[in-house]
Amino acid sequence: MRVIQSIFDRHVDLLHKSLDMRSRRNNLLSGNIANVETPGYKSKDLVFEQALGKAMKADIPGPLRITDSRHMDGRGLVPLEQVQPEVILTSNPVGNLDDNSVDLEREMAKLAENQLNYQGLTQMIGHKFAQLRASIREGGV
Amino acid sequence: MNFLTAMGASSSGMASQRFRMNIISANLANAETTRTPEGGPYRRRDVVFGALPAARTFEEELRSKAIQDNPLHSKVLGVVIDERPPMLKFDPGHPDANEDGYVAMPNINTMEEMTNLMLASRTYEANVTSFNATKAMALKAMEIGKA
Repeated sequence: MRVIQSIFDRHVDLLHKSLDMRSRRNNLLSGNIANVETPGYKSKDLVFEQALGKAMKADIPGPLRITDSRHMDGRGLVPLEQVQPEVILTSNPVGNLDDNSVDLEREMAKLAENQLNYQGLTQMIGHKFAQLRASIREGGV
Repeated sequence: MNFLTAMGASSSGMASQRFRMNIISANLANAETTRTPEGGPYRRRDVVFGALPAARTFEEELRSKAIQDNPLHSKVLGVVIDERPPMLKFDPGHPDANEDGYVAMPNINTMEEMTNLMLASRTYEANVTSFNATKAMALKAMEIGKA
């Protein structure tokens, strides 16, 4: 178990978490697009990037020494495993008469951006595994 | 399964837009209909959409709460009859003309129906695009770890 944990370093955890968040964001954006014509629907988005960035800092020792997993380091940082995304309502500056706040162009752009990011992340995690494979086989094929 | 959630939302959007297209087609087809089972000329119909949470999955039912960032599905809540009065057209030779020679015609504006039809079809396409984006993501995820 110990060995496995050290093989898969924090970056694999981060990539895994980011992939999860991206796919959840994709769910929300799909829901927004499905409800472009629903009166009164409020468009939603998922915010997680800052929280993930902060969680990565939780690895660097804080001002207080931790000798037990239940200790706090004094910075109030949430470890990566416990990061929860935040659902926000996005506003549409133009606004629709039927009180619907979905901006279709923006949602499509977000969807494409999210998809590209997701594909980038899958590539990165793939490279990570390829590196591990290379070192396990001592560089051989 | 995460991707199925997004695909479900997209397909709910497609289904409700297709339903709307059916209603618009019926409006256009009956633009000249003066007799209906309920009596009088055909009356324009419109669709009411609502955003509802999807049916809960087994997992959510077990945990007895829906996951907070689940997308809302687009559902057809009902079909309403447009209350605008029929258009009176002077046509004394028409079998449904009244004693003054006027026929009550359905008040359907072809332009309006065509605009709504285009809107429905574009919304449908937007949902197809998001469905395909989700599919591409799922396929990419399956490539993780491939040599």
